[in-house]
Amino acid sequence: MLRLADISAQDLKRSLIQGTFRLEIGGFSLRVDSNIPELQAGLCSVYDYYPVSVGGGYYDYDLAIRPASPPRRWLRRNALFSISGQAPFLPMAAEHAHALFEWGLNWTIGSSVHQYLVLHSGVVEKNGKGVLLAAVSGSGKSTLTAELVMRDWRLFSDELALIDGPDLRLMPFPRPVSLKNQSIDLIRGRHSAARFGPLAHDTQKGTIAHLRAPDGSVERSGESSRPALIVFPKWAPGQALRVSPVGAGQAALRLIDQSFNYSTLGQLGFARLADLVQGTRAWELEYSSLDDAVDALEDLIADDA
Amino acid sequence: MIRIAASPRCELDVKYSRSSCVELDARHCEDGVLVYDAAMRSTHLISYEGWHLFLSVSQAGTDGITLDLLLAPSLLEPAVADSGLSLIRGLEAAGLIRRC
Repeated sequence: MLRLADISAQDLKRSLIQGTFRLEIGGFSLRVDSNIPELQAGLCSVYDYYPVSVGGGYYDYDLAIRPASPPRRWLRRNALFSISGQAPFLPMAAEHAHALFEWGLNWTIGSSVHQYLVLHSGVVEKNGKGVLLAAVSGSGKSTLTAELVMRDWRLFSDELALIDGPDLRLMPFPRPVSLKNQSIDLIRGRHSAARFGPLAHDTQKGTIAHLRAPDGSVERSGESSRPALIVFPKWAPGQALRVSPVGAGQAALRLIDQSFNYSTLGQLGFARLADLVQGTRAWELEYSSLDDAVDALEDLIADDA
Repeated sequence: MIRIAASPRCELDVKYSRSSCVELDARHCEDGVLVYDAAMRSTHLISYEGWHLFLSVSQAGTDGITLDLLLAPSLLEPAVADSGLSLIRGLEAAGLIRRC
């Protein structure tokens, strides 16, 4: 298997420009087309262990990060994300090309993989037990996901839960974990082994950096898992740890709010979601200490029969 | 006739029936009944008290059922969470029952 780290910078640059570069993430093959050096640098820093091809071939999604229209280019070097030639977002500064790629990929998967129930949720696994960390932006979901991953929990995703079929299998989509502002230094300070991609300063969300996914999670991206716990994390500075059960009905309503395609799936989405909440215990986890939060999750996993 | 609340200062006799286009999937959870209305493509979590009321209204047939709502005036506006009126309003808002 060819990995990104195995190919030369020159071959990578050529295949990105010629549109023959393929990046394999989870069950998806991406055609990535770009002539922006910042994207190439970002890919090399956090996707180095991922299977790739530089000779073209089959792909599921056709993604491009290219300079925007000439007038915009004249004003400032910028980058435009497009999928199959359509640009869903406004251009961003070229130095944010990698962050734009990650956001665009979230949007692409979240809005198109209707064979799965897709929830806005981190997903990690320990001892064969999948844990959904479902929360709105700003709740500390990605920071907690990063902490767990650095403690050898398996990463499925920090952003998207892909739930497949009547067996409710969690499908891995392991990608770099997106961290913002103080969370970057927090994880960097706690884990000297943490490797990050380039910093993107002054984005709409502040400073963004992506934590490289562990090799083990990338290697096992073909192995699904069963959901064992649904957790609604909430970072509450200065507060004591609080772990409280959430009823299945309330859990369902909260997950619907965090779903990308529940309404699209209609009755099938309800059946999947109801099966999920009826078969999986749900908890609210309020924490101010990452150590306490991890201990609580370890206990909940251990208690799961 | 179903008596909903017991603060007899103000009486409301209103006839309700099940909405005509209701097509439900229902899942019983410990904190209520999770209901999907396939016709409206909407999802609701209904308390067991509300669910039993809905079943009573549904089983009454097309003639509907008269609900004898005995409510204190203070409960009329705004409805409080536990009042019988809020149950009725919740079911109405969900499109599960309608006034005849």
